[in-house]
Amino acid sequence: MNKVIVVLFGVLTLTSVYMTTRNIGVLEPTVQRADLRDGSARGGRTYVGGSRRIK
Amino acid sequence: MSALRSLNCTQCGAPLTLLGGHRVESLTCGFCGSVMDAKDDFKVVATFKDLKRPYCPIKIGMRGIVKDVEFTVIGMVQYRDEEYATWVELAMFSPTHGYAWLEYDHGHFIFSRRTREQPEFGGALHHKSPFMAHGVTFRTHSMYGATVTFVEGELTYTAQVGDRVSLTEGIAPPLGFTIERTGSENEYQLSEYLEPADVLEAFGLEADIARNRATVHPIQPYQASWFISGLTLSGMIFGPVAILLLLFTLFFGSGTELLQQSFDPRGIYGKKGVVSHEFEVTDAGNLIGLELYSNLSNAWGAFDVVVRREGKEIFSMGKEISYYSGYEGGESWSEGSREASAYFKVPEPGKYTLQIFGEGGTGSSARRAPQARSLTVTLREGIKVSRYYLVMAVLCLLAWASGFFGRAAFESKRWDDDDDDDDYYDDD
Repeated sequence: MNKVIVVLFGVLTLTSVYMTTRNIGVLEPTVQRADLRDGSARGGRTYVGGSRRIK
Repeated sequence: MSALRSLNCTQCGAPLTLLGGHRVESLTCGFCGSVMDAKDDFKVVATFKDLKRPYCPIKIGMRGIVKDVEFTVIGMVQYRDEEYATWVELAMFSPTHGYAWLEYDHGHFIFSRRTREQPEFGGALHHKSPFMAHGVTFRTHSMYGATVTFVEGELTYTAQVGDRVSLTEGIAPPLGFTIERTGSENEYQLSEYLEPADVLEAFGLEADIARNRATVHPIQPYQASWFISGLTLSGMIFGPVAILLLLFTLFFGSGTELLQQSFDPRGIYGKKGVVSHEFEVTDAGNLIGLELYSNLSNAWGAFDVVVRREGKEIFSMGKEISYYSGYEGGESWSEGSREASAYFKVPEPGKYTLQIFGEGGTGSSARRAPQARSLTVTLREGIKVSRYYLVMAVLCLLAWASGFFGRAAFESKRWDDDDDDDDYYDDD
């Protein structure tokens, strides 16, 4: 039965190699610049840190 | 093969079979509880009525090959310690190899034989103190008293319910050494842990009647489960592979620099933004890493980064930098980072530029004036991310360490009841 675990780790290792070489999950998503300029991508974040600190 | 003899109980007349050899000194009737002296015409010396026979899968009269010797079970004694834990000891006889004991303790089987060899130890025994016997170093596991609560069949001594014995147990799994003190007399036993399934099979019983061993016996050897052994093996095999891959990407995965350029805040936060120098990507399959750095203090900056080729927008992304720090309640604090990073690819090799638009502020939503700090942009081509190898390395190390944790947990259970024995040592 312990071979099942070994095989599982083998698959995980190969998967990590595949994901690294194929750059899966690391690419920045492309966003339309218009959306960015609207502020929709960061509307909630612009003051979160600051408002707490400036009291 | 032992010669069978029989007689009737001298108290109740029940038919009894004699299985033991000439050293049998007592016979206890399983029907009426009478203890008879085998050396004095089976005269009744005591009677213990209404005793409940303890559970043991192996019964008197059964035969089995244990340690390559065929034994017949001739008697049974149940003991109870001060904490009301009970166990059964089966007396066994072989015409060629004499007498031995098979202890049954909640699913565990221990094979024991008396030995004349005295243990060697310097000073009084105490918790985990070592002593030598039969060339083996044992560690003192426990010292306790026990009382006989049930007797049946033939024994090489006269045992009666209520008899007390003091026991000192040393362990060297799978071996054990017991010093048994009755009055002023010491007897010694060398024990060995046997796998329950093997014992049951030796006596012709189905192995699946073995009870689950909920507890760890003091001399039970550690055996990793298939799951733990699989994890340990996997960690040993794939751990070094993952670490090598991780080190490789850390040392050789940083890529080559395409661009490093600092931008004035007036340009960055202006309406038209800034445009970088041209940089050339040689392989579209390469991962390109973008790093932004701005020495902001208690401020934030949000940057739209547009990748262009020949003036045409390829794609754009948004990154934000915010860094806050201060001193509050007697403690310095900081949060956020002055850096941001992103990974992207371009569709084909060629010359590209970045156009960057910035917004910023110092924290308050009402004050959106950006902090006048420059922005440094760095681009590297041929990046290899290490995050997946890092995850694998951590997983493999945890898997490899599971063997140590499993053994440590097992050993902890093995010595679990030791603290209670300190009282015994003190009183002794």
